[in-house]
Amino acid sequence: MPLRDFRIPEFDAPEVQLPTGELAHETTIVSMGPQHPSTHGVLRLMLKLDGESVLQVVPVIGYLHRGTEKIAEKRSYAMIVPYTDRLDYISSMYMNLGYVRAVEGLLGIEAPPRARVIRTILGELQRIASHLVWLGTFGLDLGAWTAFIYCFRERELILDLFEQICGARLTYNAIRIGGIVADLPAGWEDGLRAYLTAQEQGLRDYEGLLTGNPVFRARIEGIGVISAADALNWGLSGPSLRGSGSTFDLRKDDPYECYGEVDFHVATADSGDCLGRYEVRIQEMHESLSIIRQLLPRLQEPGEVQTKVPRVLKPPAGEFYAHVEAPRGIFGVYVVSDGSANPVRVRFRSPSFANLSALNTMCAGMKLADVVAILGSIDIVLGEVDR
Amino acid sequence: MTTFAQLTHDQRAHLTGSEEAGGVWCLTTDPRKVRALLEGLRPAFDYPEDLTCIDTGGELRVFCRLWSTAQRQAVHVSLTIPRSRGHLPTASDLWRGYEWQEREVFDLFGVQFDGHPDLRRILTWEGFPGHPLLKDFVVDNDDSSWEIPEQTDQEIIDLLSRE
Repeated sequence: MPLRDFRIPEFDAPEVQLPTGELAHETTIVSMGPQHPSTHGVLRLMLKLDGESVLQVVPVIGYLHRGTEKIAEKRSYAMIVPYTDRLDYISSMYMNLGYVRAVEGLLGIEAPPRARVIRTILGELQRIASHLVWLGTFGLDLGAWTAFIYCFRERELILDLFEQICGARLTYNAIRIGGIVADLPAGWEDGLRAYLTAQEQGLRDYEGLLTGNPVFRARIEGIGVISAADALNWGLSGPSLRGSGSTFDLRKDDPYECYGEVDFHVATADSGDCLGRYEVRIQEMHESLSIIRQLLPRLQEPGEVQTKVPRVLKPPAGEFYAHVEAPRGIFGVYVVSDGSANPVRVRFRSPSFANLSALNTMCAGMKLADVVAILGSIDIVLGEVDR
Repeated sequence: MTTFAQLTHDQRAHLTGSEEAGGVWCLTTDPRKVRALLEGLRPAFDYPEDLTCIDTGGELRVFCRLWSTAQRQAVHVSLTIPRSRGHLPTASDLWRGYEWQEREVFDLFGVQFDGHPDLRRILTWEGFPGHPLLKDFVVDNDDSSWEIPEQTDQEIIDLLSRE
């Protein structure tokens, strides 16, 4: 069925008398949040406005700061894994993976091949689940309610698959140092295949609801533009960076787990606006499905899913930096050991923190209502911004 | 294409040590030379991946990680400063992404970054006592005298009132 032409016809705007003199230059400072529904958690934005135009945005963060890095200094290496679940709680699997890879690097061990295949599949499922939450709530922010229900319909299937592996639906603690928590339960692959089929239909549904929707497009096209050079300079990563045309993706540029062995395309968009970031995430979900399909035959190969790791881990004195391409961008973990059972320092480099820091640049010259769209398009999770 | 040997040769005046470990180039320097070193690294290393600090007990080690998107290469730069009243030149004008990262290091470790455009606390609040990631910061769960002062937002309003 050909797409109908939904474009809004041109019209002559009526002449509006704008205030002149002193009133024309009056600026207002508005505090938005931390309980504002569009800030996706406890974020506060201090806005300097000229009428409805945004002159400056100062994000105020830290409302969800739990001192994870401080707590980690008093915990054993294995005990830190559940804390990482609470960083980006929309993609806990990837937070586990980033931290676990850093400790494995410090120990000089590697997960067995079967565990690596399963980790990659879980990671890509998590990416889709995370993008679905983003897509649903992004639609909500802009007044498109229906897509939200559709996105959560398929996300439930992913959570069911995760639950069968580790018993949890949000904070998994599933990826462990040297492997994963348990081998796949019987029949899990059938569930995965059923999910893949449902998801392909699901993606067509969301696109039908949103991509060509003129009201939705009018809110995001040309809004919040940032160039690729600026985005790199600000440390943006993930879809927020690739929406500006950069191809920087650690799955390609510094492959880990099984990403070097699968064939996939790094999704990018050239526009650098909210629509570009939207297109990248939609495209990424298609690519993730393709990666999972390529790895499916390898689930037939039996094998260990856990390397032998001592009960009390005492990595040799030293440091290791691991980084992974989480759904929101580069999640880096820096672990420093002095040879004892507790780390000297664990540092989490969170993608949302860096992505949020560029908000002021993206909002320059935009309207107040666009701030909601821009904030939605960079997809922050406050658990990971504040740590 | 820069190689490790070429980089360390070009930057030797600004280095106090260098090694290649696990594919990562690790450079050490000191607070007086770091600015010139970072300026030299800026053209090749375009992505500010991370900036943080480690309290080793005796001194603070400031650590930054840069990435070259063209060369797919990481470089670590680290240096040590004294635990109290340590200060460094800012790198936030070279990579804007370090603006918030430096604020975080200032907030949690108390390191001053000279020339930073907006060095305010970021994860804790205005008037927070001490710097929580220092090893001698006392975490007392039973201390009931802890209270969060009323937020005036004065720092932010001052910032927004600037032209």
